[in-house]
Amino acid sequence: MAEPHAPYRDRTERGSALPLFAVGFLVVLLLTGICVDSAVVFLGQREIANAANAAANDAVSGIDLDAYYGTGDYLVAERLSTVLAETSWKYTTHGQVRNVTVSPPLIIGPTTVEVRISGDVALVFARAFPFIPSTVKVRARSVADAQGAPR
Amino acid sequence: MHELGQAGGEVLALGFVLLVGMTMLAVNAWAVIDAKIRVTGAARYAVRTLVEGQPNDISTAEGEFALNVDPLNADPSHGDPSGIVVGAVRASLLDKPKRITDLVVRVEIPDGPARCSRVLVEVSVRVPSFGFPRLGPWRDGFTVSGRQSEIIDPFRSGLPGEGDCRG
Repeated sequence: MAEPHAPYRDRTERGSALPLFAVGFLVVLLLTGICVDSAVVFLGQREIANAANAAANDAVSGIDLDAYYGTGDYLVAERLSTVLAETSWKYTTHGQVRNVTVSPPLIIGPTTVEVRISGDVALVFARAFPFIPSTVKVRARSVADAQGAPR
Repeated sequence: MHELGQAGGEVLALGFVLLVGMTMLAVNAWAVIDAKIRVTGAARYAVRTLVEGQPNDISTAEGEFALNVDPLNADPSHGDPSGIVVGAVRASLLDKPKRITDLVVRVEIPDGPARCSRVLVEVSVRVPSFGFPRLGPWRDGFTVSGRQSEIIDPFRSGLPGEGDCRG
């Protein structure tokens, strides 16, 4: 006895692996893209945080020598700490981060400075989609205090 | 009749290969990112140790030297005789030394060991690329490096210079 529905099933399922595979491939590719782009942003965030720490440590070394030798006060010199913070960035790893801005250090106490750094991280897979921003802004803030400085 | 269910089988087979391949790629990419974070941390720890270290340690630390990965140590004749840099790098990388090879540390103090001199430390490692059994790795690994820099504390003792960081 013949099966009445067999020829109908055969005809409709022929070649159905191809679209299924294509859709599955796109899903896996999308998930991989999200993984890679998230990792790149994470790496950029770590890089800029490390750089901010180093810049803050350098900035707090910018002592106002005139004030120190004149009145004995230990003060962080604003201009010098700015130069030191900007110079520090040039020497640290910044492979993932572009368009970096080192804000002038905020002197938040006689021996305490705060450094803010921001930059853009270029995404890898997101560039393929015009409606998604291809860069992500990363920011870091670090505060350093000259604990061992004479007071 | 013979092709009934064949679509599911093909998708499973191809999907399995694709999933394994993509997973291995993601794992390998993460190994590189992990190594990057670790070497940057190691460089940072080493440079921080140096700028706050003993004057004699700073004076003798300059140079480029390779470290054995397992166990993590260095030949003292190739640099860093006091072991201050090696100690810092070891402390940062000790918990996962087996997925990296060719660990090289480079210490530079361009203006010499003095107050306000800049100290640069670069740590680089080789991360092996993944490979399928019998096929071998698809490339000869990745070199990952991290570089950090700080200036020597202007108030520290035992070093020459006035502590004037104006350059």
